[in-house]
Amino acid sequence: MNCATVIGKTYSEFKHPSLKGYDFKILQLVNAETGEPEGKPFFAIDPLGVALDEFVAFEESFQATWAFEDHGIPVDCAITAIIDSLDRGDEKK
Amino acid sequence: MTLGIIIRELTCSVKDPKLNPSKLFLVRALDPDLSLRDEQFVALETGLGLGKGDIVLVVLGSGARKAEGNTDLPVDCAVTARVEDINIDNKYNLLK
Repeated sequence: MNCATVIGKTYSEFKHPSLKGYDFKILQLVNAETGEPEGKPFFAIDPLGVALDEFVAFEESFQATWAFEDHGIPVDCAITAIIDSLDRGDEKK
Repeated sequence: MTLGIIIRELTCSVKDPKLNPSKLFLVRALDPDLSLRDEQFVALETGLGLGKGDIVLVVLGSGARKAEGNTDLPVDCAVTARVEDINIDNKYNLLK
């Protein structure tokens, strides 16, 4: 699990039948200590309906399928939580 | 999940029987701004009716097995969606 910022969204009509009703967001990994972006953006399925610029936690790899009640969903990255605040000692984001 | 573009359709006369109704595609990875990355994958496509030139999302790892339901498919890369539009910083990038 890791934290990232939502930097974009996608529109996709043709998709696997089990993915109907969900959309894909573009995430940018963020260093929780410094708030700096890290690495290249990537895609994640969004079962929560998060907004742009929101700070989220996501799950990667096979465990991402467990974010759904029916585990038979072909995903490898899913947004699992919206981070409201992050305690970094003296300051809060 | 990774964005990619289908660059080749693979024809395999001999393959695992479990893969049989599905197609295999060669997919080149893309960045969200649609520039090409160096990686490429052979990805399974399960009856979505996609073809060469389509911009797709590719699932890597064991989650790709779920593309055919809960079967034990020998697959670690699957095409799961065709992307029609990407929106970064409120700039729309219509693909089709």
